[in-house]
Order: sequence, then C-alpha cells, then structure tokens
Amino acid sequence: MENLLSNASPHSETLIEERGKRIKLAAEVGLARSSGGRLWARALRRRLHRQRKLPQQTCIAKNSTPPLMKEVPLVADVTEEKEEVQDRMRALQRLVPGGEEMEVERLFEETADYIEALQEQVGVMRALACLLDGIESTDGDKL
Amino acid sequence: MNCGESSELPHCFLNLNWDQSIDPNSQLDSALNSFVSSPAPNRISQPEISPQSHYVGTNGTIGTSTGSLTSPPPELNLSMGGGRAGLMPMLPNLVPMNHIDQFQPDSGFSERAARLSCFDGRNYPGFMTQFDLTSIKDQRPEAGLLGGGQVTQLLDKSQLGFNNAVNGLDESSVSDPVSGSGQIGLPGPSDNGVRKRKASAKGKGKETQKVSEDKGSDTKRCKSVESYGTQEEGIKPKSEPNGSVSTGTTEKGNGAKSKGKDTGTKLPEPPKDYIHVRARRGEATDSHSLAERVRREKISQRMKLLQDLVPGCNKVVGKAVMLDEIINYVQSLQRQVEFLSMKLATVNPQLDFNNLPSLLTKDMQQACAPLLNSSFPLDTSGSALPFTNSQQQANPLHFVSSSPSSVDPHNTMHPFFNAITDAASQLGAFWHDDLQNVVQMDIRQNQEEIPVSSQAFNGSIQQAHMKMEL
Repeated sequence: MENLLSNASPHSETLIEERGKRIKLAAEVGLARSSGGRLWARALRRRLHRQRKLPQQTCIAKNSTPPLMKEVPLVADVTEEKEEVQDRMRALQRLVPGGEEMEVERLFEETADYIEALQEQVGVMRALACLLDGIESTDGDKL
Repeated sequence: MNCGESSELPHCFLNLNWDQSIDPNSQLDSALNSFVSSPAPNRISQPEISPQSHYVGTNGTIGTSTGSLTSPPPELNLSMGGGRAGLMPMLPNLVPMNHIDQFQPDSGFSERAARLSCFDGRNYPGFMTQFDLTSIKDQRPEAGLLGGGQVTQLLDKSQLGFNNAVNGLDESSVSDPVSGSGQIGLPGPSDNGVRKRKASAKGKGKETQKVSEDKGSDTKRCKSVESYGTQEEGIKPKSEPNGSVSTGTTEKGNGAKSKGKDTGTKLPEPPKDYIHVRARRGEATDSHSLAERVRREKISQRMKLLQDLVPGCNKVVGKAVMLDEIINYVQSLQRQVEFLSMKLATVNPQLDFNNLPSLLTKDMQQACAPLLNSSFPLDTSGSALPFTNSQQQANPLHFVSSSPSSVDPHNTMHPFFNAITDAASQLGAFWHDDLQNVVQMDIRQNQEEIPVSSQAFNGSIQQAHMKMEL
C-alpha cells in the first residue's frame, strides 16, 4: 500500500489510472509470457524489456531482420484496390507487436495467434473482474 | 542421334524401374502403364556389363513399352539408371546404373517413387536438373552433349507423363522441349504429347535455361557415359561427385523454389522433400509466377484462418473488408484489455487481495489458481488492490456507479458471477484458450441473459473506455 502510494504520481494521473496502467502492464507481461514461442510475444517482451518493465531478463535474440513493410510486390499489379489492402496491412502491422518486421504470411499467422491470446486475456480479466466485483459487492458472502 | 533414339529408353527404363517399386502406388502404376506396356521388375535386376545388352534385355522383356522404343543407346539407358539415382535427390548415395539390382523393389524405393510421382510439372525442371547432373556420369560425351538437353527433355517427358498421370498436369511448368525443339520425335502416348504441348509454352524458357546450364556438366556426363560400358566400379564414385555437383547446381534454385513448392499439396508429399528436390535454376517467369501463386495460396489459407477467429468475418467477402474487420477486432480486444485493467484497478481497494485465497471457496480457488498463475500475474495487481482507504473506497464505487454504462454490466455481472460460483468447480477445467467462450457457454447453462450481459459488457466497454478517455 505504501509502495502504491509512493509510486503514484498524483500530478499527472489519478491513482486509479496509475493502478490501471500497472494492471495493464501486468496483463501485457502475462500475455507476452504465455505464448513464448510466437514472434509477437517475443516482440512484446522486447518492448517491455526496453521499457524496463519486464521484471526478469528473458533471452531474446534481437531480431536482425530489417523491417519489411508490406512490399509493394505483394501482388503483381498495384491497383487502387491493392493499395487499400496495403494500407490495411500496414495498420495490422502496427497493431500486432512486432508486426513491422513480418511479411504477409507471417503477419497473418501472428495475428491469428495474437487474437487468440488476446481473447484469452480478455476472458481471464473479465472473469477476474467479475469475481472481484462479486466479492466486493457481496462482501464475500457468496463465496 | 542416339540421344534422340534413346529418348524412349529413359521412358521405358524409367517407367520400368518405377513400376517395380511402385506397386504400392497405384497412381504410378497407372502412369507407368501408359508408357510401359508390361514392365518386368525382375528383368532389370541383373547388372549389365554392356549397356546395350542391358537395354535390350530390359526392352525385350518389357516388350517395347512404348511403341516408339527402339534400341536405345546404352548411355541413355545408363543415364536413366543414373537418372534414377538422380531421381531421388533425397538419397545421398546415388544408385549407379550398374547396380540395377538395387532398383529392385525396396521400401525406400517405393517411397521415392511416390515422391517422384508427386512432383508436378512445376517441379519437373528442377527435377530434370537432378536428372541431368546426377545421373549420368556414364554417358558418352557426344551423347551427353546432345543429350544434355535432350535427355533433359526426355526425362521431362517421362516425368511429365508421370506427373500427368498423377497430377493431371494442371499447370505443369514442364517444358515441352521435344515438341518445341523437334529433336526428339518421341512417339509417346498421344495424350502425353498433348499434355506436353500444353506445357511447352510454359516450360520452354526454363528448359532452355536448363539446357544451357547443363551444357557445362555435359562433358562430365559424357565421360561417365563412355565409361559405363567399361568400368562399372567407377560408376558409383563418379555418380557421387556428379550427384554433389547436381545438388550444388540445383541448390542454386533451391532458394527460389523452396518456398514455392507447396504444389505437392495435391498429393501427400512432405514439404521438405519439395524443398530439396525442387531446385530450380534461374528466375524464369514461370517459376516466379508459380511461386507467387503458391504464396498467394498460403496467404489465402491464413486469411481463412483469421476469418474463423474473427467473429462475423464470414459474411464479408473481399480482402480489404476482411482486413478491416480483423483490424477492428484486434483493436477492440486491445481496448477490452485496457478497460478491464482499469476496471480491475477500480475494484474495491479495501479488498485485501492477499486474503483472497481465504475468501474463495475451494472450488473457486482451484478455478482461480490457474487463472491467477498463468496469464495474470497478480503481484502487481495484488499490490494495487489492498489499498485500504475509505476515500479511495468511495471513489472506485463512484467511478463504477457514475458511469451509467458500467452500472448495467455491474448488475448483469451478478448473474455472471453467480454462474461462475455455481460452476466454479467446472471452471477450473475451462481455463483454456476458449476461456471466454467457455465461460459464456457455462453461463448460458445457468443464465439466460449471458449474451445480453456480455454484449452489454462489451457495449459498456466502449462507453466506459470513452468515459475514461474523457
């Protein structure tokens, strides 16, 4: 509790927001650790590590692959329709952690896995929130 | 030209060899039968000192597999035998021609035969390269020189016929050098010729490339051909260096084609074999477009996978729209995580999270333990919770109640939570990837408003998120 108070930055954010951020961070850490084998998880861990939020050192081989933004030769001819697709690809790249360095196939793979992990995360957090809500509202009687 | 004449030999010989080992493979049998009338597996068993006699023997026994079969030159016979060895690029030790007895049905051979049969036309040129380079050390120089391309063509043909029978030769990139060059009047089966003509346009470029490239190694082949009749012992050692040469040369195109060799999806072919075998040289337009096509297929496969994941994506058709949906879904999931983390932050801080295990029933504990341990490290969140301050206690409550959107989920969460408590013991087994769905399913068993609640929750998430942003 004291730590929490000390860590809180009352100037910029409310305490709740601060806590929320920490929880979100914890969620991210958990997410990154859960699917260790995936590219996006590795990229997420790298990011967290860079922010020094990751408590433990994880052996992450820095990806030396140069960023592969959606190559234009994704399709032979770049019509306007393909342009749209390219835009969306780039957007997806930004969404998925580590997506900038992936090509299309890989990106789709990682997106699918990322979606699954996010779904799981949301479910867990939701259940936890409900659980804690229930505890809070019922004063633990129902338990 | 003996090479020209020998065109049939590789055919029959190849088919012959295939036949003997391909028995388990009915497809190959049918393919072979189209070429060879009655292959006699056992006839090839004897290692032939004189290639010609060997050929005759085989030919005689075969009974002139194809009508066009004449007396093929020994070198071609050898080449085919060597080609056989080259047929299996996967086999590190190429089977020399004279070791025909090794061609006897063996377990590995049928496997190789199956693999070979799986090679569709696209891979054929690369495959042909294997043929040209590996097989034929034993070929005579002149035969090699001329047959470099011709043998290639011949092998192409035989392979093509093979693949045709197996694959139906959809977009076979196998060139039709025979028809194009006209050098070899291979009177193969008419359908074979027809198929080849179709592929001629495509494979021409590749074939010519291969032919030109093969010229370099032709001399080697020629020498090997010459020595075939005389030295049987030398064949094996020769073949191996040639094999290495071929693998070296073929591997040039490996990178280009390795990725594109999922064409064997039609047949049960392990992908790794394709990567090895499909060495294709050069970047002929065909190979490029083929690789593109394979890549596109892969991409569409992944898109389908994503479609299944993202709810509501099945209705939309079109890449851009679907990508939009996927992006929206990922964004919404990320926002949900954010919202939930804020919501968890607002949970009554008076709750001493350290005592949570004691608060939970045994079942709940079991259910929550994996939840807590696996993907949600509670050390940080736990520290947030046991913040006991009356003021703070009021705030979160106000926070929760102030946002009307969250009131609904709050109310509807009760049935949700009830369901959780009721099914706590079962929930323990449900913490899997489909956690969310499972929980909803579980709730459905107990409550009716789950979809409503979840939707309300989702709706509230958006609203609450907006509220938070404000």
